[in-house]
Amino acid sequence: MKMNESARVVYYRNSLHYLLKSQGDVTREQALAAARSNVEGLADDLLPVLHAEIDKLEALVASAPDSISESFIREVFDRQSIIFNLAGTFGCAGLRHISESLGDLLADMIELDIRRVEPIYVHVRAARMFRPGMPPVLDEAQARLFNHLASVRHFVRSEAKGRS
Amino acid sequence: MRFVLPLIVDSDQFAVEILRQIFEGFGLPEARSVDNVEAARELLPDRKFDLLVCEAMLKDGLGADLVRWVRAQANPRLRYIPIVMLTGQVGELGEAKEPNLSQDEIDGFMKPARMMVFE
Repeated sequence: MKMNESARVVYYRNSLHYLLKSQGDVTREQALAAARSNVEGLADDLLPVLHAEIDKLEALVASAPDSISESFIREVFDRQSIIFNLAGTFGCAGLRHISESLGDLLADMIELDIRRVEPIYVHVRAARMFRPGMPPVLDEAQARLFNHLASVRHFVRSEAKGRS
Repeated sequence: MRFVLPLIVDSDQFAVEILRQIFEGFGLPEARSVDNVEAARELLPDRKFDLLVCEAMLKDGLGADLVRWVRAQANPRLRYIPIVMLTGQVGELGEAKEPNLSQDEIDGFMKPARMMVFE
């Protein structure tokens, strides 16, 4: 371990550091290909999970009261997190974008104490269009939809800030 | 590289499985996982982990809280463990909202975890 007090930088080497400097049995490209292949091998198991999580999210939002609680928002957050991660992992770009937008919205709702379900509902309806296996959405329509979701987020934020 | 031991802290079981498959592809079949901050605090001092991969938002606290706890430990092996923090939450400019930690303390990446994160 070396310490540089003026810069407050600490160099500490564990087994990971030493192994990164040593020769391995496989090349970098082979290791990346093996990891990629392993993840692709999960698709058969996890794409059905993605559909099931969207179903759960739709059912959750359909049962929402007019004024939702923070625990409800966190429940939506749990579903959103899974959808976002799986959509990103398996190349569902549109669904990833919408779930990312929903995540930002939910964070704002918790931070600004917003209890309306409509902005969430708009995102959930949009997600339905981008499920794996659905017909592709035209680029222009997709851009309009994403802009609309951004407008919803901005409206929710500005409304909450105007209230406070 | 079979004796390198990562710890994954994430409550999303599917995210954990994806990370496990990435590590296994890299030749690290022994990754351990827990789903909350408290379990990580219990496990970290007892095992010789070489890498900590942590979700920023956990059920019982923030990943940033766990990072601060790790960096305050007396044992240098634990205190200076490499940490990768993953988050799905970003602001309008693409900057991570959480954790609010300096670059010196961790490497932070946007979810989902991709192979390049661990290069």
